[in-house]
Amino acid sequence: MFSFANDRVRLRAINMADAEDYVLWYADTKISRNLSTYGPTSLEFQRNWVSGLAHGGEPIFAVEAIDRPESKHIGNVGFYHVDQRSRQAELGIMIGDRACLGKGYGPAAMRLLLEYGFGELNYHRIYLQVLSFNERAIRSYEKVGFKHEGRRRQSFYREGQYHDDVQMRILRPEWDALVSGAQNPQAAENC
Amino acid sequence: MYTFANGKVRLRELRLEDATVYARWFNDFEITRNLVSPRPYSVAEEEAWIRHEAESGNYTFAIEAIDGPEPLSIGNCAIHKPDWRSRQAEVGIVVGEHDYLGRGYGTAALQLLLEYGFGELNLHRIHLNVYAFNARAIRSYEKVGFTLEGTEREALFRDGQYHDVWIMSILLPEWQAIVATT
Repeated sequence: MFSFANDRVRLRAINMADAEDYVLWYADTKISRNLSTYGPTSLEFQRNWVSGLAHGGEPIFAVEAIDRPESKHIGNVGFYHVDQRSRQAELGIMIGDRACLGKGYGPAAMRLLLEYGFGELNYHRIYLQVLSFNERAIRSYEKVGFKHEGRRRQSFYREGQYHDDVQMRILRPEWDALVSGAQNPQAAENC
Repeated sequence: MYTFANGKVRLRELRLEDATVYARWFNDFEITRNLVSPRPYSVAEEEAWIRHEAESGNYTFAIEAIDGPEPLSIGNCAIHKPDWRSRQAEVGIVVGEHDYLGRGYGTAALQLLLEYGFGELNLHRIHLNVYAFNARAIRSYEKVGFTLEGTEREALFRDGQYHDVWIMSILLPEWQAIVATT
């Protein structure tokens, strides 16, 4: 049974109160330079985004780290641009709590979301786009099982220059093969 | 390439002006006793239905016979809003023109509809309900490849008594097997 949790993280619904964390995370440019919205955002802006979720119907969740005495809201993860006919969706993820970066929470949350996407939502293809300079993210997507399928050259302008945008995907049979093999457990490290 | 047509019929978009013809069909009890709601409908009600279908998420089409001198609107059919997660949907069909009943037009339209549902909408299962007394429809559904999977006993009260309702379905591999042999 799918429980929206593993030993590291839990996926829960996004609440209006989470908007305050988003304001902090986007203001941290080390975080937001990797995202499509770059830089400070108002509480109103983030609240609008949260209230839009209630109408959009897309499966987007808050990520909580649970391998610690008290669980902590550290990011969000979800599916965007769901294409029901061809059974594909785009995965988006952000770990906004800087202290929790590079500790394996992102891959743990993505594995849960992939399990949900393939096992419950019956998707056939899950894809993502990542800015080419975000090497940590690319490594983590590779670790989860995403494969490179293309690179849109100079498609994103940021910090005074053009950057490539890397396209990655995982297909249902690829995921099934990963799941039937041994899943390597992540080393737990608190933040 | 899927073209929404075969040699006998074509599926086209609903048009508001179809309401006049639909109101005639839906005042014909011989037609409507096989349908969910057997009562006379006005042109205004049919227009409201056509408008509703546009926003319903259903894939609804008019059926035109195209093997005569002029295309003629003879019925309509729909794949109701799919359950995308399990990739299943219910279909419904009516042939309202008396002269075209029992001559394979409904069957031809349903074949087109299944081809669209499986081949374009990527459905896995298509099902329908039919009243057990509607022998002509059942023969047509069986011809297309639907199989009886259950009976809702005495689930319909009509003409002063209870009738069974049949649940019929066809799965993608069953459809593919049929297509491969024809």
